Amino acid sequence: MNDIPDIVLFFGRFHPLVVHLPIGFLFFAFILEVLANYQKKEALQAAGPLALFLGAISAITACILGYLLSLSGEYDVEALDRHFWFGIATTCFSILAWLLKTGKIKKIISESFKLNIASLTIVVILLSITGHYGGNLTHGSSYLTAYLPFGKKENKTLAKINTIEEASIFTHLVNPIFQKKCATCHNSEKKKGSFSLENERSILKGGKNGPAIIAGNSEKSELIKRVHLNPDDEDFMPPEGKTPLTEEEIKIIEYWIDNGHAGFETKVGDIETPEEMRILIAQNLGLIGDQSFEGKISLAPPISNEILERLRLKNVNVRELVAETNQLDISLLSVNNKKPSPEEITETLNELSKIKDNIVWLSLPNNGINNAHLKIIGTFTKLKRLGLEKNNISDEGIAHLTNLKQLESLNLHSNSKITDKSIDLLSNLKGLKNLYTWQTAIKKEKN
Amino acid sequence: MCDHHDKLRSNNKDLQQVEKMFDRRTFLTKTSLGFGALAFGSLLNADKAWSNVKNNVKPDLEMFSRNGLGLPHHVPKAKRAIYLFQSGGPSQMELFDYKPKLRDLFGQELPDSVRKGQRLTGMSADQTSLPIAPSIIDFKQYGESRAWVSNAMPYLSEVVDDICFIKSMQTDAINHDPAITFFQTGSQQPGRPSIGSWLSYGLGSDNENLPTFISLISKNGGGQPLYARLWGNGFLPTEHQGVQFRSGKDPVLYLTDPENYDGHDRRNMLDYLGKLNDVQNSFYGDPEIDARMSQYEMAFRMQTSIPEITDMSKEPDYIFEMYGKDSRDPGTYAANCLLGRKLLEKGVKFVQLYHQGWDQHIGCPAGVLGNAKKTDQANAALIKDLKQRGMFEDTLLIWGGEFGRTVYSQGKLTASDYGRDHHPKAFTMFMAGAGIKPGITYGETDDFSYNVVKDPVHTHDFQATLLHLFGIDHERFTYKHQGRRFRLTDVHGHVVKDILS
Repeated sequence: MNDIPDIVLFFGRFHPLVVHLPIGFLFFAFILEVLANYQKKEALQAAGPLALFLGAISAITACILGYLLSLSGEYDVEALDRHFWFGIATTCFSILAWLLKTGKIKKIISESFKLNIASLTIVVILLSITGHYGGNLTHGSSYLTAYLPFGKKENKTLAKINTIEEASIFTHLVNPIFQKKCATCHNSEKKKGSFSLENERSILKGGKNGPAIIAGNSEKSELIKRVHLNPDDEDFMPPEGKTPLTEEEIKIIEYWIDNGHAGFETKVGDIETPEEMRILIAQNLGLIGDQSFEGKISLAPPISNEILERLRLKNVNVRELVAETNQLDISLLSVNNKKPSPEEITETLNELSKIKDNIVWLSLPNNGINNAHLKIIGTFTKLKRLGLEKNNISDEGIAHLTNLKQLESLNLHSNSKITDKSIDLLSNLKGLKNLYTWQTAIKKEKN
Repeated sequence: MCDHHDKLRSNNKDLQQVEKMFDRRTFLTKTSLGFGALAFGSLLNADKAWSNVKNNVKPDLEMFSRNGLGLPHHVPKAKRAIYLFQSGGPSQMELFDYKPKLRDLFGQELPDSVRKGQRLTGMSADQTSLPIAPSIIDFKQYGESRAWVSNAMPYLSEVVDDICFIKSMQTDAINHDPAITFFQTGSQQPGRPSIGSWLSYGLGSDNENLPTFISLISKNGGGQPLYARLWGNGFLPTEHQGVQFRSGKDPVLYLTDPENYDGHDRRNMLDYLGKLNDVQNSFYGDPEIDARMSQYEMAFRMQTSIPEITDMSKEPDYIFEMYGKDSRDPGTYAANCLLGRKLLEKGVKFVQLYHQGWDQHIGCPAGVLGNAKKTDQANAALIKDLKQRGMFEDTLLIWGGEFGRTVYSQGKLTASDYGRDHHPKAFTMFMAGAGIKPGITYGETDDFSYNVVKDPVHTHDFQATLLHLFGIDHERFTYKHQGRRFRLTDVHGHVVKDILS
């Protein structure tokens, strides 16, 4: 802390503690004054001057300690100035109010309730303003309104993206971490260690220990060094009591510095990204749950509740493959020996085709599915697993499935009319790993 | 509230008295408190109400597609599972853990360097000698994976290439009750939810006409008792407890209508009963009333769904032949395996089979052979059957007991007979199917099959792996009860990644 003696800062840091005393005393004095006027009780009248006196004394103390704290230079000068002058004004007015109340300057102005209440009202208003600015200094100016239930700026949310390639490394990945974990102390108003994460310029500028980030070298970057320290270390960031960065968050920042050369415009798709990182990024963006979904991560389109409700009435079981991905695992298990009629199945499939880009697994065993139905299913191009066992399908129907390029598993068992011809039809589905042909007319074995 | 009089109107004088209790004062008290609670509830939910997150899913839709728990966490490998629980503690040395070197040590004292002061049960702790008893059952290697299987399991030896043997299982408990409870609930003390209940709670049903979690106990076993808590829901909502089927011709009783009743107005009856229960529920808010209502509805649906499944007449003969002749006798292990397969086919998520009788304190070789005879063919048949139906890729099959058995003989050791006591520090299980690497053996024990020397798999690790296969991160799947969050794996468990395909 340069040339400022430690003892100054030691006392200075008592400022946030002591400021609460004048706040309490002066508010209380105001309340006493109001009550005393209406209730006309002696005791209330008598307590007023004491409350004001204590308020004024503690306000003076708070001012002195506040000045000591301000010497640390960790705060934005402009915001500090406002708080500083309002604090002094509050103190002055509280002294004035005390003098008026106790009649010490009676000679100049005669004592009256109106005068007292006026001076106290001014004190309370000044107190509130000072307190607010003080709070802004400590917590940042957005602290108070961050959870305001209305009038929230919607557009502050980031541009919506559907694939990780589109994501800007800084804007979508790194900055949210900074804002969440670091920016309450490192912002333009409260530059702890003279370092602010407010914008590109301030980030590149670094803090009083030099640059925080060295593009391409996370190991040498002060910011990364600090978060890797032992949590007991004095220099560890964030400091004690604040939520530390998770391993994943650190990895993302390192990736930005090393792979992305700390570029502010670089997108994930622009640079080479290891698979492990891709998964992490996708998770971070909320595109998937825990695991890469066969490498290709994409969010399926949203699904309307009306469709879900209609499917439910048709006894269709709809599950999300991974929570909040909109990728669906759909099954229709025949209920109580009552197979749906072909018309009902067509209706259900037409309903399903409205969400065909969401369906990844589809299981329709023992439902009397016929070749015509497969024509509809053949358009469900996102399918990876398809269960058509115990149905009424023949080779003609299989021909409809040749567009399902993503298909990995196809269950055709107990469809007695399926022959070797189907195997040839399906042979152009390169991704197909498992084909089940038990109790069909197929002779060849294929896996 | 004000229409209670309509709902509860009764001709019974006593009941009319009760109805009168819903007077103006009760009404006002209840409603004012109700509004208070409503306002408070919306306060608590304020973060949802005001947040950017779009949460416009209706509650009933939430139930069936988005359970609100954020599950699954990742893409699941398993959609369903069948857990073939071999109760009693099957001897690993007579079945899978081949220890040829023991032959030379026949009758010798178990070295202290092996036992290392390991706690023994009261049944063998007082023995003056702990003589080493090599298995008298022979082993051979099978399949491309060259897995060792004893002659007790000839059918299983045909499918070893589909199986992952875990020879390094470990548990904390040394007696049956705590050990089974530990395996099924993650805690030796009773009171926690069982694996199936957790899955039912977390993932919900795939077929609303059947319970999500069913337990079957084979009638041709016997020995250590089983308890309903092993498929119990613990502190989870009661509708998630396992439904136990009877071991016999009628797995579920009273599905048919009683004499002189055609069942036509049952729906009406249930609707009316539901209304009454609703009234009760609105007064007491007891979650057990919800559970009861949902179980009445389930029972109603099971009246039609169960006969279809338990009707074995449509199963072809070759299926029965595959599972063995026991499979024609309802309630046997083989028949339960077959029934289990049918339940899985119909969307039951978790089938828990139990076969008792693996507790060979005396007569170990004969006991093992006897139980193997009752179960081996069906185990192998189940694997083959699931495979041919294409279910093996998303069905998890688990075989295992609550612990293993000691290398030393409990009681007298002769050339042809010996007993074995409980041993928690090393035993064998196998898993197969969804997401499990086929044809591998994982973990190793020492030459005495006493200690794990490589890749130990603790009970909690097994449970964590099971949940992982269902797309669940065991550390994030919790339920808050009595002020803390509980997990199936308590505060332990690591997913055994090496056995995942």
